[in-house]
Amino acid sequence: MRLTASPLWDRIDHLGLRAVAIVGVSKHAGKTTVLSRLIEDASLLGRPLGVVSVGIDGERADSVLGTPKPRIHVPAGTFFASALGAFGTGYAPVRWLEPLGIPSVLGEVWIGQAIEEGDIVLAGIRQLDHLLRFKEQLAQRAHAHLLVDGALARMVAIHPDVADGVILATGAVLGSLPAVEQGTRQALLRLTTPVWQPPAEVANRLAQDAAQSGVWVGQLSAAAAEVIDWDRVDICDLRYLGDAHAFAGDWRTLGAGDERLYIAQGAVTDAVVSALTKREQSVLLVARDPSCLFISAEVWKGFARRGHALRVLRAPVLVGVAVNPTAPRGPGLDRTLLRTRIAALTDVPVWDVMDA
Amino acid sequence: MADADLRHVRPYGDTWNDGVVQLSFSLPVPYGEEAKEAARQFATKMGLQEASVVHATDLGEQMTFFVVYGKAQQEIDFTAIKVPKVESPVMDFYEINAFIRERIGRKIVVIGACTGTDAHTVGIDAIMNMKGYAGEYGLERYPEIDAYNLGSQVQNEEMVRKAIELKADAILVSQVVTQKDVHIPNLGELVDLLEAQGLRKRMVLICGGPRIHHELALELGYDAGFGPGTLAPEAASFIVHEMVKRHLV
Repeated sequence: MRLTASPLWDRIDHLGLRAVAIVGVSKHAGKTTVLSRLIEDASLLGRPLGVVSVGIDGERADSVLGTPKPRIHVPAGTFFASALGAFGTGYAPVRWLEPLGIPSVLGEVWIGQAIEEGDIVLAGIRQLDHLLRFKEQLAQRAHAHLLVDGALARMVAIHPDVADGVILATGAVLGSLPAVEQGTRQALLRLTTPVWQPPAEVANRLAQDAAQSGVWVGQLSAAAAEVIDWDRVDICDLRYLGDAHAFAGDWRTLGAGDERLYIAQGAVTDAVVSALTKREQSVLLVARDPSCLFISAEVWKGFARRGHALRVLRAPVLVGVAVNPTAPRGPGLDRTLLRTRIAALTDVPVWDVMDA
Repeated sequence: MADADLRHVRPYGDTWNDGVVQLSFSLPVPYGEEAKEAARQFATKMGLQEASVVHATDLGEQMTFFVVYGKAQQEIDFTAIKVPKVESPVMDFYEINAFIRERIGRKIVVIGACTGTDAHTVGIDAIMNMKGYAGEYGLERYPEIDAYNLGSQVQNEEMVRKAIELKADAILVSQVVTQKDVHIPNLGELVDLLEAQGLRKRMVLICGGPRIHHELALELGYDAGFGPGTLAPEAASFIVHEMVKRHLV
């Protein structure tokens, strides 16, 4: 049977996305279930795929609980990255195409292609650099959509160089319904942080120095001093502080100490945001992308309440939220109620992929 | 002694393949005959046959401790088991220092700590401290390694700060406290912070502790995960081989 429509793929196509990351609020939030559904629907739609995980997927037992894990069943032709030693008996026959130059305790990681339909293991890819190597290899070999499964609650998969879309998996693993709502709200806050469009001259300066660390600081022009529309400000005296980062010094004394614009090329932490929250004049803090944000809900709220603004330079589009009413260590939640309550938190589609 | 059939392995108690196992656990019930029966029923519900309580102790405060024997019916195919292992050879103190001199050509910097709320430093001390453990020197004794033991309850942000300040080649994180899986988000956050700062690809990351193994380590974004009993030469051998393989010299 060939599908003519899939709610998840319809949405991905509507947004024009080519690489989608699946991240979770926690381990056991249902990421792999979403991945499996996307693969199954893509197979029925006749759509070629490249699949990769920043953790381990398709292994027989969960690495924490020891319980059986969902299998990764792919159609013939699917490209993927995995460590050679992760494959035992009972998996799909694979054509190993090329090593990716990534050693691992499970053996070297290669790009492979399933010769026949069957189960695969995704293992050995564990950092951003590895994801980018696989993505590059995939692009050279096929015009295929890329699916990136996250690991635990890690956010490296949402780096904009990896994914242009993201699906958030959430559910009963967080506990009670209010706990799930709170955890999901926090994750949505991070994933939907507004993107700041810098003025052309600022964008040019940033493009010239694409360093992964350092902080750009700037002043508002006199005319803009009273303006608090952060998407329409005039910037002057933009300077790059190459040694500045979230883990050194106090941001209250960064630069001249009275700048209004801070563009952080690395991590943005509670300490950074708390320091800037104390500033009398409102500031604009811009992170590179949502994977750089490490801010607790209370600190974020306090920052916004004082009139400051937080933006990112780039972010993948939030495709939707997938809810999982089951929990590995508890009774689970009512699936209809869970879906309704999560839908109230966001404008994007909310799916229960086991029920859809 | 009978030859073991490694495809059908069962516990050995008194006789070959009898499946007898011993459990110990506590139940929140007052000590007495009812408590022993509760323990027997619990073991039966776990799937053990002929469960018998061979020891019970009153722990006070309505708690009782038990030792129970029973027969397990399950068996394991030992031949189908695959456990990831570090493939590179474990060298000794002298070989590691010589390897660093010859293949890396400079001293390497290793920092280690118990992170988060964890204050149990026995594991990281055994690997890092000069006196070492079980006849093996710790990394502080290695002339070609600048080793920094940051101690316990070190927050992830502090780890990253020290890694930047000291230009660390490798980070060792010990997590002994794992109740409610608190080690998982804590270990994962450190990797995400290093990624955000653009440092992850430049470092070898290792975690260790009683519930850590290589598969979990990979899932968390680490390069390896060592369990209890790991000694300095195992960790150091992995670090230096990984640095050479990844051209981090």
